[in-house]
Amino acid sequence: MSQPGFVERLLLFAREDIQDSVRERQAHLLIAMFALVGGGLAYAAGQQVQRWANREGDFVVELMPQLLGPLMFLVPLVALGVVAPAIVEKRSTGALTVLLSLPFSRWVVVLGTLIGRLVVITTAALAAIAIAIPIAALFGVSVDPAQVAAGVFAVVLLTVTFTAIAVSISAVSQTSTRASFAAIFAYVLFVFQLWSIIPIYVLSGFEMPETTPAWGEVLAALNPMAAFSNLLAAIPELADIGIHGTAENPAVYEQPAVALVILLAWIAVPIGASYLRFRTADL
Amino acid sequence: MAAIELRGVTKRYERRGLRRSNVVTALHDVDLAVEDGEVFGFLGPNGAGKSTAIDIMLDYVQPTSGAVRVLGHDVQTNSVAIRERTGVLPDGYDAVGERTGREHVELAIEAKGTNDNPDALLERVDMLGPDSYPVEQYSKGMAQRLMLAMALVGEPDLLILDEPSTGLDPNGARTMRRIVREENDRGATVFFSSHILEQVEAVCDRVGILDGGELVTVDSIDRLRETIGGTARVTLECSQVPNGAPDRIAAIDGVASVETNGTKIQVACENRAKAPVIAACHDSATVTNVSTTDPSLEDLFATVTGGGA
Repeated sequence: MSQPGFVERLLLFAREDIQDSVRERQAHLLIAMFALVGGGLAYAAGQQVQRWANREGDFVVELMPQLLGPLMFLVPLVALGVVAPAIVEKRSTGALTVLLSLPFSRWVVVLGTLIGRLVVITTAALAAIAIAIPIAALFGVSVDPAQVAAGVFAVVLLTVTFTAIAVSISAVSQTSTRASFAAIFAYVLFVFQLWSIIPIYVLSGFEMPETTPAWGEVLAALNPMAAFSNLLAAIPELADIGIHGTAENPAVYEQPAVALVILLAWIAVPIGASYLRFRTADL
Repeated sequence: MAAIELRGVTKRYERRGLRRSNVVTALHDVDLAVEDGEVFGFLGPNGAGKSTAIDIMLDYVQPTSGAVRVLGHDVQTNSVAIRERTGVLPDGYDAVGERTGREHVELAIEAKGTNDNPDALLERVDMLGPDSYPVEQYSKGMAQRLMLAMALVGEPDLLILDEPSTGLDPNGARTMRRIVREENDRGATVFFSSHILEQVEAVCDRVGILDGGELVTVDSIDRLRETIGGTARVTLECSQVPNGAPDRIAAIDGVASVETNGTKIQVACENRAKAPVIAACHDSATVTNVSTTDPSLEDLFATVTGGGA
């Protein structure tokens, strides 16, 4: 009989990982939480439409800008918080010992965990949009299909990026506690922009300079959260969402295409680097 | 071909600290070859490095230096190919998620791509029944049985069992021994570690004894017995210990030691001295009972690992 190949084992591992979060009711909780957020935001947008309907003038409330702002803070939080324990927990309990006694390579463990968690968290994040659309339609909030498409694409990409970072943290951490701290650190680093603020502050002689030096701008654009905003700016109506107000004339490193490359690098580099470390790690 | 081959394997665990570092050598320059088709027992006191050696064979842990080949493959570069043909009962494992026993076995079957019948495997380890509830609730012995069932998936060429009888009741231990023999009859090589000598004695062709991270000896049980042939034990119960008897016995050629305890005389001697010892007492006292024991592995173990008899 022929042994299953790499792809079959990868899909098996991912499938089992998804089943784990279903068994633990984690998937249910995540979907319910995001659905509630999406529904709530759509309802709030609807209330806004109602209030403005009594005034003069032509007001249009679009759904996606209302939705994407909160989602871009929630997605990294959930991805880091929920996924960071994934591998390290299996490692410290001994479940990984069982899995690695079977013909799963360590690459399958890293990639399979990434795929499995992605399916769960992406489903949950998209549930927010899926619930929001009918509610928005019901309350007269405008739903632009192009914006929805762009929003879905951006949310999926953001989920992949932060899930990849979280899986990487999980693969290289020795204990669950350290993984949690690393995840919190990553969240603060990227979402609160300490990624660029601290180097700029330190290298400018421990004070915030009047004008940000050019290298500081580049560094800021490399932050995955900034890249997310810059990418969304490809759709003008979504340009000013998030932590990084997009410039009138974006520099090369702020172009949507470059932002896409930056986000893809934030997926590939941490996963690759953490695998190299995990491949030879003692259990 | 050797099923398992360790060459010059050393493992040092380093714990780096700011003020002082701590280095522990778990294995020191271990050479070991386990032949195809044999049952090999890996013995050693707690902390001897048995689990570390097994972890290295399974690529759970990287050796600091040395080379390890299992089933002809290099462990570090080709571990998946090894695990396709190896059944493992590891140490320090835990349930994978909230799976039931049966789901664990099914996972192993799918990962190995075989068409084993989960019922048949569970039946073999007497686990039909408890297989339908989560492994997290299993007792240690039940988990051991389940792990054995997983190890048996796909008729592996090699079984690596780390302390398989831990937590097993006598029935479980017997089942374990029976399965080891059955698998070996089928042609599988079996490598297992234990600190329980009877387990090893009952099923092993050869044993290796590890102590303090070094392989002290590798030999067949019979040969090891011969090596320590001098420590047979004769116990005589007399109506009363005759005056001068201990001295007379001690003078017999081949006697190592004589102890008296009330009406008992205990003699440690070579096999050839047994009859003269009994005769020496029989002449001067009424001997009510005589028992002799062969040198036990217990003694052997104590001798080789320097633990004292």
